[in-house]
Amino acid sequence: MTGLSRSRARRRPPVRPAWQERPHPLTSGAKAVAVVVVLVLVFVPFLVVVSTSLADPADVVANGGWVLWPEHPSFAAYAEILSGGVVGRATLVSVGVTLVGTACSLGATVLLAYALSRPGVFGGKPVMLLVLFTFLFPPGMIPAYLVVKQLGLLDSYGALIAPVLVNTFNLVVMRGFFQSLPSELYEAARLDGASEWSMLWRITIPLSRAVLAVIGLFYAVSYWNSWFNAMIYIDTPTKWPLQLVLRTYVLAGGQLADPSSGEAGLMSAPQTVQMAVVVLATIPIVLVYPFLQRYFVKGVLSGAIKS
Amino acid sequence: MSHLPELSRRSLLKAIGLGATAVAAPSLLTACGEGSGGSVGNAGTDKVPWPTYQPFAGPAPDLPGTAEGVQPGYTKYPSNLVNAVKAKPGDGSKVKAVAITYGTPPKPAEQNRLWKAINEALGIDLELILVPDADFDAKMATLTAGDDLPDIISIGGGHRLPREQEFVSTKCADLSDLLSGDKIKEYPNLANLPPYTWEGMGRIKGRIFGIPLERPLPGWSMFINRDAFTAAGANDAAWSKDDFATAIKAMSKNKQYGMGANKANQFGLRQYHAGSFGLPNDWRVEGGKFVRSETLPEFKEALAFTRDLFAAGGYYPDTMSISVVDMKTYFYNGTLKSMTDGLAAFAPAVTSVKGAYAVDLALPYKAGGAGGTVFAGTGAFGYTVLKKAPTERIQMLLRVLDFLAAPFGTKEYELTHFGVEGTHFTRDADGTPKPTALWTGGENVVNLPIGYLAEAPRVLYFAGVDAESVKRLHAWETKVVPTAVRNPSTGLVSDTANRSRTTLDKALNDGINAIITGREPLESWEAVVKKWRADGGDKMAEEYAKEYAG
Repeated sequence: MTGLSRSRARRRPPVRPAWQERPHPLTSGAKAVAVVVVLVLVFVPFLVVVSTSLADPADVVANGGWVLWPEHPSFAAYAEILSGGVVGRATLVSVGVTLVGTACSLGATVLLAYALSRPGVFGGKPVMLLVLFTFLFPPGMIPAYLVVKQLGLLDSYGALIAPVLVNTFNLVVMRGFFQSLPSELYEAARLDGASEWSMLWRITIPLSRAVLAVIGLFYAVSYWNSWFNAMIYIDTPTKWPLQLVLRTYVLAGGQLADPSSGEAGLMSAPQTVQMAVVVLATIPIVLVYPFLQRYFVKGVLSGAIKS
Repeated sequence: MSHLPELSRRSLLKAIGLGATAVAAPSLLTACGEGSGGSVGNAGTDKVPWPTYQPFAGPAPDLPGTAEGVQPGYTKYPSNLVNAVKAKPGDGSKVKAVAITYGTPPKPAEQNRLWKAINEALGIDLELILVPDADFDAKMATLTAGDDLPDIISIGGGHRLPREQEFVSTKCADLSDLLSGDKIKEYPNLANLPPYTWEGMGRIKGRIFGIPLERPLPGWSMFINRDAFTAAGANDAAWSKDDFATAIKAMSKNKQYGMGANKANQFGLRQYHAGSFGLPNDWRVEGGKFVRSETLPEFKEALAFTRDLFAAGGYYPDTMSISVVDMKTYFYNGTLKSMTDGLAAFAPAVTSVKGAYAVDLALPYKAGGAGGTVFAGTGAFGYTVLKKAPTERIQMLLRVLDFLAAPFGTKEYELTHFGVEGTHFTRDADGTPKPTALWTGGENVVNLPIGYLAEAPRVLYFAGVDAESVKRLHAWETKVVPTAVRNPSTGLVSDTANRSRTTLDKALNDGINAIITGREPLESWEAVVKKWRADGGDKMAEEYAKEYAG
């Protein structure tokens, strides 16, 4: 009996429900082709970027700016970028700003979102309006610069974090998630004498890991990718984050300056270096994504749909 | 859940209303301030004389330069270098400067031997704010808004600050009393800057506020693969537009193209074809009136010719989306047989092609009676201004800039262009500086762009470029410079241009690109010009004419 049921289980494909027919071979074939095409479309650009970064610059020029496979592979482009210590230092700055910034942003967003999600909190509505106001009408570049200057943050790492500490979109998502938690839990905790602080710490946060992971990733990616604020607020090149430094590698000599002034002909960075820059800038985020991806749908939807 | 602070529609609308008021307020305030500074034009002012030109008597060039603007050429590096500066210019203080960069960030001063050597030679502690070319407008807009200006501000690279002349005349030091006429002899290397570069920079309110960054007079032209042009039977010594078109079409086959250009330079229309059609360099003065090139019938003919070349497959098909870097790559690897670019593209092109073919510049073809000319550039990359300070400090900063402007053939030039001997370069048997790995690895003056604070007049000497290539470039300059067409608006001030030139130029450029690529019919050009005239073009012409007369 046991042997029979085992053999039946082996015959029946486990992924298809009992009421579903076997797919037609043509359908299966078409699906396979579609999957392969999509994979190729995603994979080939990645391959081109990595291959070009490892190729000999002369091969790249001869082939018109890119190669699919490096015939004479070398790490010269990476050595060029990483020698001299400028990129190494910028990486440290970026890692530091991303870690500290994400922690500060998450902390601030959790506290504000929790306060705004609680019923009847004093001043909740005006504060929420104030927050939404910045969402609808972000400050212009120059007013923001003047505020950062008045705060004495120019040319400091604080200027990379303070102006973007709380992202309104992230706040709204997190507030929505907190609001979706059953109010009975809070009532029970209140009866047990819990303060707001312990309710946040013992109920809200443990139940909100999904949204915290997603919002944390949003913040981390935005700190990691950010270069504009550094360009505006940071004067000392040694304090520049990785993305701004890498951007200069991509732009080096390539911009068409005023043609009449004849600067357009400056030597540009080889394509190999530019592609190595793309690889370096992408790796950390590519490494982090797979570990957090499972929280994604749950985290975002939980904030959007209230039970 | 019933007592949550929800947003009603009315509250939201209130917030939007408040926001709109807040957003509008600054522009309303700005509007109130407009015009309060008065005109920055030179018309009717008592203009100070330009600095007296005192050329440097340096090493004799192998290929002579001319007063008209042909650059002196050197086929080998001079052996007897002289000192151009007698004493250390600085006073040991910290000097903050902002400059454009086309490079990558340099190592910090304490680890950078080039930076240290420059600081030591200048006698200052130079602190640099480096602004990538692509971010120049945004960074300078904030920097100039926040009152905390650096000591030396370099403006150039084709970028224009918002209300630039107003900013310079109110926030920067007036240098007229230190530089005009013979007073410049206190700074002999600045006195070596040729008159056309000062005129290219221009005065503001009749006064001198800056030091120009000299560039060769012929600004740009068409670089060609000489071997391919010869093989196609092209002879640019005397060619008509039909000869030119025939050669380009003959070379445009098998995924190779005769013409290389990009969207930003409008298919080389202004850089090459307009001169060949005998058009003015942007403006022409006729009976005291300023006439714009785009409004002339010949411009439409040049536009039609370029459009036909594009339609015939003479241009790279993705010219509208190709980047400058890719355009150069395709020129180097032989896909493109020509490219329109700045004159500074010559040396990188020769070294990148590595002898695969001879890089040369094409002489203009003739279309129409007065055709066959090239356009002169402004003669300046931009200029350097100084923050207002006591006279002694301004004089010290001028001495520093004077050091940086030391000409070719001096020890100071060698330091500011090749670095320290033994560290950044070694010498070949004939004395030619040969860069070390430290220099090519990043410790160089592309990444430490002191040349954008002040620089010597450029000469035809390029390390790594063979003598024959230098001779070709010199021969081309000798042929085209005497008839090079100048832009009469260079150095003049127009409030309308100052305010809306970018928008007005963009409207014309968009029209040109649309017509050449066939998205719009040729007949639509009249409407583009009409709109340009109405939106400020005519006003600009009037203001230039007034300024020209005054």
